[in-house]
Formats: sequence, C-alpha cells, structure tokens
Amino acid sequence: MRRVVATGLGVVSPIGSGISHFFQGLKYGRSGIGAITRFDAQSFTTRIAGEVKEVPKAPDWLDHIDCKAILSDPKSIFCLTAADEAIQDAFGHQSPHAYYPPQRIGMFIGAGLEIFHLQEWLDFIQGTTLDVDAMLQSHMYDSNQSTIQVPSDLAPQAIAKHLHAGAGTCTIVSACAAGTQSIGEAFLAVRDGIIDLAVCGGFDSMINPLGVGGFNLLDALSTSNHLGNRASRPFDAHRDGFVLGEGSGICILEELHAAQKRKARIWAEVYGYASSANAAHVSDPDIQLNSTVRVMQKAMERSCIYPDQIDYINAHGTGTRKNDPVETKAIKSVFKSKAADIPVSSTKSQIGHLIAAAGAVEFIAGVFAIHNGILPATINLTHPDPECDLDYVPNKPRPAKVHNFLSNSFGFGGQNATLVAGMLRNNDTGTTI
Amino acid sequence: MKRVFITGTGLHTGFGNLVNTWKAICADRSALCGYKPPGAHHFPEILAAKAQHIDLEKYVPDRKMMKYMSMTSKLAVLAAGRALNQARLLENHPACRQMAMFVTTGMISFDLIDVSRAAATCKSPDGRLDYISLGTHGLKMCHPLMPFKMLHNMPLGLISILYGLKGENFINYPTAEQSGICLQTAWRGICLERFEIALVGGSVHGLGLMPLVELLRKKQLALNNQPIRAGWPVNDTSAFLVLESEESTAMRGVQPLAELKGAVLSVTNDLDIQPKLESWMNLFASKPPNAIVYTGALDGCDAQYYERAAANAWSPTVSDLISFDDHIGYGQSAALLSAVVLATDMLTHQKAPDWSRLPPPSRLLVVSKAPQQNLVSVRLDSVEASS
Repeated sequence: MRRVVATGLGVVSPIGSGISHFFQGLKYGRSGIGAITRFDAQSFTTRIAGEVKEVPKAPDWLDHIDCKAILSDPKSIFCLTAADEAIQDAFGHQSPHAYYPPQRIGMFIGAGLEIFHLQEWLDFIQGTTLDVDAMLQSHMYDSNQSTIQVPSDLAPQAIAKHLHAGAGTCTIVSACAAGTQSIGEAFLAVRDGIIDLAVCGGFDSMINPLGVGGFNLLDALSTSNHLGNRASRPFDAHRDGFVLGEGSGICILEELHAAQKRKARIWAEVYGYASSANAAHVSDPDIQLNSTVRVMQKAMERSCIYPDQIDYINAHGTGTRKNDPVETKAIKSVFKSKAADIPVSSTKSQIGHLIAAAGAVEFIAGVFAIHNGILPATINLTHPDPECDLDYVPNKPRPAKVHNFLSNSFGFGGQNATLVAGMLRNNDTGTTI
Repeated sequence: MKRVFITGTGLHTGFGNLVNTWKAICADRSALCGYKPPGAHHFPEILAAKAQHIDLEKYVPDRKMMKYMSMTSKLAVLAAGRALNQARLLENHPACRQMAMFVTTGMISFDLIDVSRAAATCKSPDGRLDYISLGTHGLKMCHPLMPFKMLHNMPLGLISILYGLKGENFINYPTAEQSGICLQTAWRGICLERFEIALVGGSVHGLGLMPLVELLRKKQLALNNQPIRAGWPVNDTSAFLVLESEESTAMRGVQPLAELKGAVLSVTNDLDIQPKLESWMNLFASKPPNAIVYTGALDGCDAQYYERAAANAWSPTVSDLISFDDHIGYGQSAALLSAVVLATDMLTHQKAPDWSRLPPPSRLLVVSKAPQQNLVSVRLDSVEASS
C-alpha cells in the first residue's frame, strides 16, 4: 500500500494569510471575527463575519490564462493564492514537472456556491421583474462583460491549466464537508496509484448579501453582533449559531517514497479517510449519531490507528445549538472513557465557518498542532455547557505533544467526512518518527 | 481486484424514462426542438430538450420536501429512484446503509422570481443596490426554503435522505468529466473492496437561464435550424447507475445488466490522439469494442476523429460509432452517464437501434469528449461476454 504525505501547505484565512501568519494566529489564539465590511450589512440580522483582511493580489501567472471572470470573485483569488503558496512550499522555485509528468498530477478542490452579482442583476430589473432581453443583450455575446453568475470551478480549472495537471480536476461541492472530502479523495487517489501528485483543499466565501441573507433565512448564523470578535463560541452555553468566515486551504499530497527521494519537507502523513451520510435531515445534524460515529471509526480503522492513539481532535464545532452537543456525544461514543482525556478544539472559534474551505484549513490547523507542539484553542468558551463536557482547550492554546490527530467535517445536507493524519510513521514499529 | 457489475439504471430525458427513451431512439425520433427561455425574445432559438413528465409522487411522499427541491434535485431523485428500484434496493434495503454514492450536479439555476422580487425592492433612485433595504425587507420576500434550492449538494443530500443511503460519498460539479471521476471512484472503490455497492449519477437543469447564458457566451450552444450543428443541444436530464461487486450481486440474487470493466480519464488535445489511444488500449487490450458510443461533440459528429483514432488503435478493425446526442440532447453533468445507461441497455438486450446498422453488441466503449475537458473512456461488456 502506497503511503501519502503532505509536502506543501498554503492558507488564506481571517487570522492571517500565508502559513506562517496563520500559524502565528493559532499560536496566540487570535480572533479573525469582526464587523462585515464587504458590503453594507447594517440592516442585516447578522453583521459580523471572519473576513480576510486584505484580498491578496492574483498570481502573475493568471495573466496567461484566459479567465478574467475569476477577478470578480474574491474567493477564487483566495484559492489561487493558497495554491501558489502550497506549490512553492512543496517545490520551491522548481516546477512540479521536474518530478511528475502532467498526466500524473490531479486536483481535488472543494468549492462553494457560484457568486451571484446582485448589482449586475439589478441593472436589468424593471418594476419587480427581470428584463431578460436587456440582460441577455448586454451579457450574452461579450465575453469581457462581467458575469452575473460566476461558476465555482474557475479557480480549480485555472490552477489545473497553470500546472498542466492532466489527470482530472475534481471540484467537490459537498458544502461544509467539501474541504475534508477533497483532501480525503486526493489521498485515496494517490494511495491507489491513480495519480502521484495531488493539489487539494478548498476555498469559499459566503460573506455576500445572498450568503449572509440566505443563512439568516435558515436561522443558522449568530446574531450576537455586539460581541464582535467574541461572537464565534463553539461549545459555549450561550452560543447562538455559527459565524461565517472566508479563505482557502490548499495541500500538496505526494507518495512518500517519491517525496523522500526529492528530499521534500514532510509536514504530515495522511493515514486514512472516511465519509458517510446521515440520511436524516437536510439541515440538522445526525441526532441518532450512527453516521457521525461510523465516519470517525472507519477513518481510524482504515488508518490502523486505535482510538487511544489519537492525541487531538479538530472538531467540526460550528457553534450552533444543535451541532456541538451532537458532535460531543459522537466523540464520546467513539472514544468511550478516553474521550475526556482527548483535547478537542474548534478552529471556527477563531476564523469562523469557512464552509467549503473549512475542512482544509482545519486539517492544516491539525498539522500546526503536530509541528509546533501546540493545541489550537477554542476561544470564547467562557460559559461551559453541561451538554458539551469534553476538554475543548478553552480560550488559550496549550503545549502538547501531538503525534496523531483526527479532523471532522459534518456538512449541511448530511455529508460527513473525517481525516486521520499525523507525524510520519515508522512503518515497522507503527510509531511516529 | 473485484469485478464490478451494473445492476440498476435510471434515466430521465425529454422522452421520460429509459423505456420511453429507448423506444424513441429506436424509432429515430428526437426530443430536441427549438427553444427560447421564457421572456427572452432576443435569445437565439436554440436546439434543446426539455424534461417532461417529472412525476415524483412515488419517490417523494413528503410534499413539503418538494418545495425545496430544485429542478436538478427533482431529476436526480427520479433517476436515482429508478436505478435503485431496478436493482431491488428500494424500501430501506439493508444494503443502502453501506452504499456509496457519487453524484455530479450542474450549475445552480437561481430562483429568478424570488431573487428578482427581492432585488427590485432594493433599488435606490440611482439604480444602485440598497443593501439596507435588502436586509430590512428584500430578503424577507424570499421563500425561507429558497437557500435549499441553491445549495449544490442538495441532489446528493436528498437522495441520501429519501432512499436511506449512508455510505461513502461526494458530489462534484459541473461537467461530464466530473461524472467520469465519480464513475472511476465508484469502480475503484468496489474493485479495492472499500464498499460493495455504489450509486453513481449525474443530473442537470440545462435549460435554466443562467447556465444557458454561460454556454452561449462560450459559443457552445447549438442553434435551431443551423445547417451544421456547432454547439451542444442542451437538455434537462439525469442518469444514474447502481454498481455492485460480483459477490454482492450473487448474494442478493440480482441479475447483472452489464459489467463495468473500467473508466479512464486522459488529457484531451484535439491535435494529439495518443493519450486516448493509450487509454483505450489499456481498457480493451487487443480485442476492440463492437462500437464506440460517444457524447459531447459540438458538431454532433466526431466520426472522422473517432474513425481515425479507432483505426489507429485497433487496425484493421474499425469500430462503429453511435451517438444519442441528436436524440436526447447533451446535458453536461449527466451526459456521460446518459450514454453509459443507454449503452448498458444495448448490452442487456443485445441490440442496437436499426438505423445504426450495428450488430448486436457485446463490448462497448463509451467516450465523452467535450472542449476544455479531459476525455473520459468507459468500457462496458455484456454479462455473456464477460462470463
């Protein structure tokens, strides 16, 4: 069985863009949550989010790719920037083609919803109806015209073109589970020998009027605007919903021996992955626990890891009334008496919910834990909830030796995914090196 | 490596279900006709196939659930239900709890009525969007369930909920190449014993206004009455397959319809046929397929291209070519699997439409070749040929 390692990382996040800034943010337990500035949200029920402070400049290589619509979608720029960092992190100034032919390079990227530019749309509203003809006349034939609806796969396709990745680009759209599923499916493709190099992860931003308004319609977001950077409160008794975040997390996965041969830095070894579906409700978590328990168990089983070998869990931990106790119960059901001893934290407390990017950025937070010997905190946890009674690493990051970690994503729509990863293992002894 | 059989297929096209679609194809009828989106007088009349007779009552008992199903979700639920029904996996079959599912969905068709009404109330005198009005009352004019129609993952979520599927899964977007990845993932998962049964499908509401605009901008839409077709005749379609290991098929006592021997993705470059030939040779070795079923050609006929490729790959035996795009249209995320479902039907019944002049097939190559997408090649064998 081929082994798979992460050799490159890239992040754009509300607590810092670039791996070093993101790691600094985790190390000091910073919050990236604040008032929404992307649009005038003063009349919205929710007026806070985790915004990327400065939208990065698109990489220069984009000039050579005929895809200008990307520039109208900030989340696509996040993806390009994070991918650029991850590729440079893995290969320095060399091209991946120095080691891998194009047909062995694949992409698995979790993407969010298509951007729908309301202002563009509004130009064609007459009375209360859309003047379809006027809109079409303006937009139909002019490929330079800005688009009303920007497809979600432009950034992955642009990266694939830039890299000449010829083994397919899988754009996964499983909502909150997309980032984790993308890394998981990339891991399987490399392990099974379908490809040798994967660019994987996720990107998203729903900090726009339809995104914030849509989640408000579903009563899913925190409305504790007065709390500002303290509003994202997973596992806290007073939590009242999740806070949207935005950004991107991209990883480079390779087969171990190839990575060692080219003397690549190995950030982590991916041991295993599983996914499941609740088959219960479109928005509520798995109250019966069957699917959430099974996905964690299966991921560990496939990793040849016993529950007592897990040193840290990066929880889905959204901060909604329903998710957090269900995830707590599921962890207890899987880890039994050991559950109380395993540190569990929610990176969403610091950066908000990055939806399709969440799982990827949170996987990178797990890599931070094993590399820095620091457990990321669940900040803003000041009022313990009797239903959430695990060790959530409250408020401050904590030093700890982390060999193996597990990262959960439980998606809106009922898709669950879990990754198990850790330090490079000694294959003979099963211990980490 | 385990062998993988197809034990259920489900389709919904402009002709309706698979039986009606196959009858129409055999009679050489086309579901394509001139189409303009409602209210779009300046939109050129395109060639398209609209889905008819979407009757979900058998599969969706909860009428409230229907309200938050987009057209893409409805089509997906319908075809998935038919595939599961044929594979005898409905009625909460215990196997569903472990069944994997990999689905490809199309671009979102935003709920234009809701969005337009909300946006209209928020237009300031200078024509700019007034965000304050949008937050105060605009969004409240939208149906509270509207977001569910716009989430990409709802087709998969609803299939999972309605049919009790709980296994490995992902949903991707929005092309035929993506459904090639789904098919390959499911095939590999069964071969390598990660799971025994998988549902694979694609669904598209290709006649949604914004997806049409996007394709028209790319000059990929077929226009009506064009002397030579130079684009896709789009459609509303969904196609699903149940894949199953040989052992599971035997244990459940179901009759396999065909064997899926493999699915391969290869770099596409119209000037270089070598990667395709390699992938085809890998799939078929020395014995060529009886025919190539292809989909996705903008001009409706890539015959010369495939003849040249096939002649090079299997000279001197030149395979026959057949495409159903002119009968049912081309639905990007459902196109490859529509062709696979129809090819499976050809193998199950050992027959091809009379107009094709093909002999009864036993080995088929299904190929999706669309501009700016990787080529997907799928090998299907009849059960007789594989045994």
